[in-house]
Parts: sequence; C-alpha cells; structure tokens
Amino acid sequence: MNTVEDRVREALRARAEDFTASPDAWQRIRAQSRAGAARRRRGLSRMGRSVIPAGAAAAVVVIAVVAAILAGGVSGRSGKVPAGAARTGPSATSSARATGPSDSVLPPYLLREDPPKTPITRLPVPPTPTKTVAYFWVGDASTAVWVDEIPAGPQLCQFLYDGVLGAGGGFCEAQPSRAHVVTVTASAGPWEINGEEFVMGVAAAQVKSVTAVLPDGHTYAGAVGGGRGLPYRTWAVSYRSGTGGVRLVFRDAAGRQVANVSAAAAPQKPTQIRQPRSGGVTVYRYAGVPGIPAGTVTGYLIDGRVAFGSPLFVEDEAEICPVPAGGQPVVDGVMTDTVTSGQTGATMGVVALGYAHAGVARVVVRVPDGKLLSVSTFAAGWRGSDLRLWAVKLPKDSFNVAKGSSMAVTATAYDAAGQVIGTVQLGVLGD
Amino acid sequence: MANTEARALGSARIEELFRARYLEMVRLAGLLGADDPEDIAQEAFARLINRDLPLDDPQAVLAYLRTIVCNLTRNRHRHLRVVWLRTPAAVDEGSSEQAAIVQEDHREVVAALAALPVRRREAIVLRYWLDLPEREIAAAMGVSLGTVKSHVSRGLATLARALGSLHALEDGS
Repeated sequence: MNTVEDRVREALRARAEDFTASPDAWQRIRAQSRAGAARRRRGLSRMGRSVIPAGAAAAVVVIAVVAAILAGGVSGRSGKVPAGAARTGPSATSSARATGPSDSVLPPYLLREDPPKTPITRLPVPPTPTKTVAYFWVGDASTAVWVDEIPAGPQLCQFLYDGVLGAGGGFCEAQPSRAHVVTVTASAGPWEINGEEFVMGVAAAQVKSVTAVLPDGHTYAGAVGGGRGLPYRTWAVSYRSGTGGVRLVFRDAAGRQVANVSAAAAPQKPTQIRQPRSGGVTVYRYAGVPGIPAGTVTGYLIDGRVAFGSPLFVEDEAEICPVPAGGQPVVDGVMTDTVTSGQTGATMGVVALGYAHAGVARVVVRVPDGKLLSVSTFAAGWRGSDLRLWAVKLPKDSFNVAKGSSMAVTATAYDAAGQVIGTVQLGVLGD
Repeated sequence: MANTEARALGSARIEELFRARYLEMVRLAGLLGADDPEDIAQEAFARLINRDLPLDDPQAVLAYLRTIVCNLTRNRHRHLRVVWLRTPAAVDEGSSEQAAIVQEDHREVVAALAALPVRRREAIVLRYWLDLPEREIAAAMGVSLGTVKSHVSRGLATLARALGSLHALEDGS
C-alpha cells in the first residue's frame, strides 16, 4: 500500500465489510413500498424524503429538512394578524403521559445517534391528541457512530408521529439559541398528513399559546408544553392543508402577541441556500497558488443568516452560519474547506469567516496549537442591518492535533474597549 | 391481465436485483456515512418498486439505485453542520500487531474520509470502492464530468494531506 489511492481502496474495502444485510430486508422493502403507495394515495407527497422501517409493519418517514425562523421581538419581523386571530382559543397543554402512541414509535437511529440527555417529552397535537403526538428531547451527538457532519454537543431532537398512518418524521439538529422567541421547524414547508398540515418547534418561556391563522380568518389552536430538562417550551399545531399564507401567532400568558411568523416561509436549510447573484460583500481575497487562481469570498445575508460563497468552494455549496445572525451569539462563523489543486497539490489553506454584532470591534480566533489570530471587523453595509464581518486565514501548521486529543477552534468577540463580549466554537479538530 | 403479468415480471426482476445488489447498496450508504445504511438501501429499493421504471436495462436500473442511495444519504446529512473530524472506532484489543497496524491505517483513512465534504466523499467512495468510471460517478451524483474530476482530485489531495500530516506527527517530525 504505497499510494493514497491504494490506502483508500483498502480501507473502504475493509470498512464495507462492517455493513451487513438483515435477513428480513426484502420483506421490509415490500412493506415499505406498500406504505409508500398508501401515502401517495393519501396525498402525502410533500411529506417524505425517505422512508425507513420502524418495526415489523410500520414505516417511519424521515424529514431531512429543518428550518429555523427568528421571529417576533428578536428579529423585528412581524406580520399583520388576519381577521379572526382574536378568536384564538386556549391552547392545549402537554400532559406528562397522555394517551396515544407510545415512545416506541421513535426511530432507533435517532436515539442511537443522539442519545437523549433529557426525558423525552410528548406533546399531543390537537385536534386529535390521541392520534398525533410531537416528541422533543435534547440529545447528545454520539461519537460512537460512523457519521460525519454533525455538530458537536447537544442537539434538539424532534419527531412527529401520526398514529393512524403509523408513520412519523423527525431529526436532530444543533440546539437553537435560547434567545430566539420562536423556532419553527418544518419540512421545507408544513408537513402534510391526511389533509392536515403540521408544524412544530420550540419557543421561549414566555410563549403560552400558538394559533395557526389561515388567510380566510379560520384559526386552529395548537399545543404548547414543556418538558423536564428542556430549556424551551415546545409547541405544535395542525390546520387544514392546502391554503397557503398561514401565519402562526404566539402569545404570552396575558394574551399578548409575542411572535407572528409564516408557517410556510421558513427559510431553507442552510446548506440548501443558493448563493444569490447580487448583494454580496467581499470578505476575503485568496492569493493564487500554483494550480488555483486568486479568488474572493463573498458574504451574503440570506433569510437572516450570513452565508459565504466563492467560486473556489465546492460547486453550489456555500458556507452558512448555523443560526440567524440577529440573535445570539454576538459572533459566529465558519471555517472553509482546504482548497487544494488536484494538479499541483498546492493549497489555499483554511480560512475562518464570520460575522459579529455592531459592538464587536475585533475578533480573536484561537486555533488548536494555541495561536491567537486577531482581526478587525468591518461593517457589512447590508440595508437594515448593522452586522459586521471578519475573516482570517489560519496558519497551515495550526492543525496538528495530537492523537487522542481534540481541540476546538474558537472565535472571541471584543468591543472597542478590549472587553470580551462573546465566544463561539467554530469547529473541533481531533479525536 | 397484461399489466398484471408485467408487474409480476417487474417484481421478479427487482427481487433478483435485490439478491444481487442489496448488500452493495447497504455498504455504499454506509461508506457514504449514512447513520442507518440499511434504511437507505431499503428505501432505494422501495422507490424502485414504486416507480414505473423500465427494467430492461439492468445497468440503468443499477445506476438509478446508486443515485437514490447517494441522494438519500446526502439528504440525511443536509441538516447537519460540518465538524471536521469524528472519533473513529477504536482498534480491537487482542489483534495481532500486524492486524492492528493495518486496522490503524484503515481507521485513519476512514476518519479522514469522514472529514471530507459530502460530495467529495461520494466521489471518492464511488471511484475507489465501486471502481466506477467517471461517467457513471457523474450519473450517480447528478453532476458533470468535470465536477467529478474536481471532487476526486480535491478529495484525494485532502486525504493525502490529512494522512501525511498524521504520519508526520507520529514520526515526531
């Protein structure tokens, strides 16, 4: 095994042996295909991106898309409440152990990948709480599974199960900031089952009710609950499907509106955001290296998130900051992939890019070997935003992490007086 | 009646394909980093059954299956943010020294592969595990030939760098 190619072939061949087939795989596929056909008959085409078995007969639909909206008082985004919103009824509240599906409907892969750190909270969803249940828990990204691209640390896991259909969907994603008033989760829009659309998510503590308001004024009260160990309120609401323009109105205990968001206008997943053709700000200039011409990295503000794009990045992919920029943290960013010439082997190196809030004058990036890299921020100049941007190239020798250890790359924000006002982890290197 | 016969024939062909290729699809999903490779493979076959695809050309059907496996695995990744290196599985204790060395090498390669961006990893796995020609890799990934070349070369360069620096570290250099 001399070359990298040989080593890769050999390792892949050996690794492949670890994966085996279940003896009942064909039966599962047949059951699954029948379930798929049944779903199509019920008009669930928007629901499933993939289907997995969750038991001998049931099928579980996995939604691989999640979206978070920063709403209400935090982002300033609010909409008019259509007539009829005042008829909001009292929301159901979660019961500790309601009737309906048991927790065994939860897909094992979610529990395996993100073992729960908190009790699993059930939130029966009106109008048929015995039929439809939303589940929430905080999991911890397991390092025991061979899966990449999951953020380290706690994950917010959500799963919606429909007892009649015998199917549900769910996922885990990095925990939203507690500074958000409301986080809406949807499968690239509301999730449709049998003529009903469902949306679920988490909210700040002051949220006591949620109501879906249709354009024609019809309102549907949802459920808001809590859960032991969960740092949020949980919510879920269902309403008549196919109407479009549905708003979700969140109120506090006094009935005051604290957020009003669109149920369907959830921005797409960060990795699905396409770089816009205009509105970008040059954040970083790569010097050319043998085999790769010089190029720039451009920053964009898309749906409240800061994204970075460059012709040097992998095709159609941008580096997207994981949370909306208007809330916490005050500084955040991403690290680019190493851009390397296939012909010459020359590399552009790794660049940390990010944004910061208005009061941040300087960002200091700490790399695994302990080096501190200081960079000034500059105003992005986006209309209606006072966000600032920063970028710094990381030294090539920064990434030698001793075997068995790991080291976070962090960015710390300083104000003009030199005071630390926030730190965020950009990534982790090592074991 | 003709439709029924056609369906039966189609079902038989898919079952035949399942016998021949299911494990390969499970392994492909696994190597691409799927959290539950069997689910991905089963879904791919279920979609094949539910799709009225002409089954006369086994290669085309196989290409379709590969594409579905790639897409499904990628979709599952989409909601996940990049972390650069994951903890690989520990080497079994009790292995012979040589086996341990080989396993250690595999472990390093697998860890380096896991740190690649999704599309690069796809290209590398399709190229070096399935030994697909670039044209078929492009079809499976739904990208152009040039993009495949770019993904493979960049992926290899990244792997070479990652593995090289690991060994440099071990050598104390």
